[in-house]
Amino acid sequence: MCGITGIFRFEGNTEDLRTRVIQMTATLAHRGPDAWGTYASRDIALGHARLSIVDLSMGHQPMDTGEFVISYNGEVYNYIELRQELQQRGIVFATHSDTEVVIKAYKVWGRNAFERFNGQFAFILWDKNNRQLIAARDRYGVRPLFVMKWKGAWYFASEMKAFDSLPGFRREYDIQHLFEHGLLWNTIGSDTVYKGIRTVEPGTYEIYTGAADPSVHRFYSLGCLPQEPPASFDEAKEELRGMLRDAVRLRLRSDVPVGMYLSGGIDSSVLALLTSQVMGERFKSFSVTFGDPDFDESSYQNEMVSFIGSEHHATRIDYDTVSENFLEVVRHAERPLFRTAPVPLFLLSKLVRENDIKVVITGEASDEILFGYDSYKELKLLQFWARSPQSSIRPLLIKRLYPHLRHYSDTKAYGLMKLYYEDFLDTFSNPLAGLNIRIRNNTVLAAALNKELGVKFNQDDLIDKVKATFPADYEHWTLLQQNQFLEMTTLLDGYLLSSQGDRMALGHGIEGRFPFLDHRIVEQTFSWPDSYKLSGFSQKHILRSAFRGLIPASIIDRPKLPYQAPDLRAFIRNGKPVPLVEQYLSPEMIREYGVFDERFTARFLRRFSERSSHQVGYRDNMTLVFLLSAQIALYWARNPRQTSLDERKRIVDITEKSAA
Amino acid sequence: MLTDKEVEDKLIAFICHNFMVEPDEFNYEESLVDQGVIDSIGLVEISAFMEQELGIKVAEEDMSRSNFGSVKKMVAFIVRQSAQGNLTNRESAT
Repeated sequence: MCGITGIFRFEGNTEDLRTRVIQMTATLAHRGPDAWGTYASRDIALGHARLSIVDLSMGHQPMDTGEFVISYNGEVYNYIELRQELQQRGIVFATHSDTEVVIKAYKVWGRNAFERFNGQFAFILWDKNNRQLIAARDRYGVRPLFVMKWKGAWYFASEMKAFDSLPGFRREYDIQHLFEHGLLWNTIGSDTVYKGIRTVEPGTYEIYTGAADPSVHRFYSLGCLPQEPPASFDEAKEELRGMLRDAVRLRLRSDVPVGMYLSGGIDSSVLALLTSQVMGERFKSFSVTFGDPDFDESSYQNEMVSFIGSEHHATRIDYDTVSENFLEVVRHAERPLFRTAPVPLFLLSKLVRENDIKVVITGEASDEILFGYDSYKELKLLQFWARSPQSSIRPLLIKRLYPHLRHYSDTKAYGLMKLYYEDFLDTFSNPLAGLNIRIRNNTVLAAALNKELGVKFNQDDLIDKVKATFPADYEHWTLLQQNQFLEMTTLLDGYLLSSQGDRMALGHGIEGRFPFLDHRIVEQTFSWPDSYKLSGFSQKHILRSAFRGLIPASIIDRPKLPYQAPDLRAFIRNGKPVPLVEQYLSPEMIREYGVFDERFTARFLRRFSERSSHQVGYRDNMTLVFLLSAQIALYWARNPRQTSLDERKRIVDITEKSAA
Repeated sequence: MLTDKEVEDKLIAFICHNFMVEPDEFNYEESLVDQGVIDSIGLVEISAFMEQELGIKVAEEDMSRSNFGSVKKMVAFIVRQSAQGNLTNRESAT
C-alpha cells in the first residue's frame, strides 16, 4: 500500500513545486517505507511513497507512460485478467504491475475503466495531452484521498497531514462538520471535519482542468448492478461460499506473503478457513488479546488457530497500552474517534510488521452487508411493533435485543427500555433509518461544544443533507437495505475503514485486504431478501448457515460481542483522569483551542469521580473519547511532526519541461 | 410533602448535574429522549433517582410516556405518587 500526493495549477517555479511535493510525500512515509519518487512538470507534480507488494522490481511510481503519469495507492485484484484483455487488443506492457494496468485500462476504456476494477484504490492520474487531472477512489472508500484548494492551487494527498507541510497552511476544524461527524460518525458527502479540505467520495472520480471546481462523476453506488431473481436460501448459501472463496483467492494475489487478522469472531474465522483452503500452506495469523477478561477473545482465537494450524502471533493490550498509544493513534487517524478500538489495531499492525508481513486479510464489512449490527435488529423490532403500537406483546422482544446488557434483561428495567424505544416509533422509518437512535444519543455533543460557536442542531436540515447522498432507488429499498447504505456511508467509511482501518494499518506500513468488500459480494447479498441476513434476531444468518460444520460450532454460536476496547477504564483510574486526559481536557487547553465548552468539560470529568467506570454507559464512553481525540487531533494539526525521506530510497525523479 | 415547584427544582438539578445540560438548554414539556438529553441508561438513572432520592415507588406499569414523557409529566407523576402514599419503605420509614 502506498501514500500519494499531488499538486495542480501551482503558480511558481517547477523547483518550488518539486520541493513542496517532496515535503508532502515525506509526511506519508509511514504508508510507503520501501521507496519514493516524484514527477514534476510546469504546474503539476505527483509524489509517491511506496510499499512494494506487486512487481517489486518494476512497479515504480509515479509511473510515466509518456501520455499519462499516475500516482496510485492500492490494488486492482483482477489486474491479471484485465491485462490479458488489454493485450488481446494489442496493448503492450512494460511491467507486471497493476499500476500499469490501471493506466492502460484508462487509455483504452477511458472513464468506463473504473467500473471494471475489482479492488481498493485511490489514484491521481495526469493526462498530459488533454491537460486534465483525474482523482478517483474505490467503491467503498477503503483507500483515502483528500483534496484542498489553497491559494489558487489544488493539493491532493492520502492523508490530510500532508497539507500541514505547506508553508503558511494550518488545519482548522469546521465546527458544523465536526458536530455532524459526532452525530453520524462520519461527515456527509465530500465534507471533512476540516475547513477547506474535501474527500473524494467513494465510488467517484473527479476531473480537474483548471481553477474551476472539478466535475464529479459517480461510477458506483450501492445496488447499482442488476441482479438475477433471488436464489433459494440453499442456493444463496452455496453462492456465498463460492463468492467468498473467490474474493479471498483474488486477495491472495501478491508478490509478498499474506497474513491475516484473527479476531475470534465468525467473519475472520470464515476468511481464515478459506485462506487456508486457497493457499494450501501454512500462513501467519495475528490477534489482539486483552488483559481484562471482559474484553478478551483469545479462547476463540486459539480455537481457530488450532483448527487451521496457522503460525499465530498475539499482542496483549491492557489499560496502560491504550492510554500510552492514544496520542500517536489520533495523529494517524486525524479526526475525532468514538472508541479506543483503533489502538489495538495500531499495535496489531506493528506486530505484523515485526513478523515481516506487509499484507493481511481482514473481516470488516460483514456486519454491514449481512446485517450484523444491532441497528438492524432495533429497526426490525420497531417496524414490527409499529404495525400494532398498542400491543403489549410485541415490545417484549426488547428483552431479546441485548441479552448481554444487564439493564435490558432486568424485568423492572424492561418498562424503561420500552419507554425508550417507544420514543422512536414515530421516527424510525424516516430516511435516517437506524441512524435516528445514534443521532439522538450523540446529540449530547451539542452541549459539549463551545456555545459561542453557535452550532445548532436541526434534524430536518440534517435529513436533507443526508438525503442528497441517497442513490436514485433508495426509497424503493427495504428499511434494512436503507440502513445498510447508511451504515456503509457513515460507520464503515468514516470510522472502520479509515480511523480504525487504513490509518492504523498503514501507520506501520501494513495493507489490509477486505474480501467482504468485493463488490460482487456486496451487490449480490444486497439483492437477497432481508430474511436471509437477519432471520428473527439471528444476525448474519446466511453466513452462519453457510459455514456451519466447516468452522467450529462454538465460534458460529458464540454470543455476539461487539469489537471493543477498554475505553473509559484506560482514561479514568479510581475516579481520576489519567495525565493524558488531564492535559488535553484541562481548562487551559479547552480555552486555548476554543472547540468545547469549559463548564461542560469540567462537569463531565467531575462526573467520573462520583461513580466507578463500570457504572458509566455508552454515551459517557463515547463522549470522553470524542472530546479527548478531538483535542488531540487539533493538537497535531497545530504541531505537525517534522518528517523527512531517505534519499537512498528515491527511485523516481522526473522533472519534465512541458511546452508552455 | 414537597410542592410541585420543589419537585421540579430537584428533578431539574438532578438532570442538569447528571446529564450535563443547563436548565435553559432543554424543553420541560418535551421528551428528554427526543431532545437527546438522555439515552436508555438515563431513564434508568432518573427512575433510580425518583426511588432513592425522592422515595417514590416506580412500578413497571408506571413506566409510560404519560409519566416519563417530559419533565412536567415526571413532576406530576412524583407529586401524584407522593400524595397517594406510594413511597418506598426507606422514605416512608423516615
